[in-house]
Amino acid sequence: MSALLELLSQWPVAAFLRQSLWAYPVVNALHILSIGLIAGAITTLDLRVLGMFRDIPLAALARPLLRVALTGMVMTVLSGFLLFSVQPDTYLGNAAFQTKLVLITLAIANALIVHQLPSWRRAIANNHGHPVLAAAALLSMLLWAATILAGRWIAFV
Amino acid sequence: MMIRKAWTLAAGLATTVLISSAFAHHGWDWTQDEQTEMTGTITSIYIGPPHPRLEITTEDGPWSVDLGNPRQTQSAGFVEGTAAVGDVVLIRGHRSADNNEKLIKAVRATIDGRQYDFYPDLIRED
Repeated sequence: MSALLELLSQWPVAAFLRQSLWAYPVVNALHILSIGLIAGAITTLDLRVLGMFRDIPLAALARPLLRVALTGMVMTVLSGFLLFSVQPDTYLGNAAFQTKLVLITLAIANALIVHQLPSWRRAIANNHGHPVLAAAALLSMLLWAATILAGRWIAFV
Repeated sequence: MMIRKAWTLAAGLATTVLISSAFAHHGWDWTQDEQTEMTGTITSIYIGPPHPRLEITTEDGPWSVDLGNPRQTQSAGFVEGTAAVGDVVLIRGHRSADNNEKLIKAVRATIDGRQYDFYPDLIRED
């Protein structure tokens, strides 16, 4: 494991990110932008599930918002991996980073589970909400906020 | 609807306050006003983003040393290869105001008689 981390930190891209004065801040900004895409899209969808914006059908909102969130997710993981590669062992030993990984796993699992639920398919088809979906939406908002908080906390442990 | 909006706003504000209450590396609010010096042997060196730092062993045990930000550290002439593990370094800077936190924010590092000034404007000569 530590040999693997060592190899990753020796990776030319990681070395370039350490040496360049502009590359890291640019990737860092991309990471923030990507997180913004996830948080903005998912929060809007969660609020719709919780009963706001009722004049717009759930299906009409879900399609673009999930696409934006998914794009944001892919961008977040890619930019996050680059930032991680700069000092992998330091981040893996960081309690806030570990917490963030757990929280993001829970947040993604929550989203994946909701999408398998019959009540979600019904809600998309006939625009009717369900208490289980509302609970999952609330949990989703909490988990994403907590993930961002833990992520920001990495610099302050 | 209004209540929900108020809640969203309150949650956002609470998060902002929580985050801005801690400032690692940034500013000097968390450090002592006094500038002090300590000598130590370097045990690890990191030069790069998000923040360059040294780990040193002093008479007082292990200390972490925050250097300048990546640009300031480079401008000071402190680059990859400047220092090696095992080198003796004299750090001048501001210790954390929290006595339990063995962290000093360097304004200058001296190795082998050569001075690296991370914050040239803030160095106070005794």
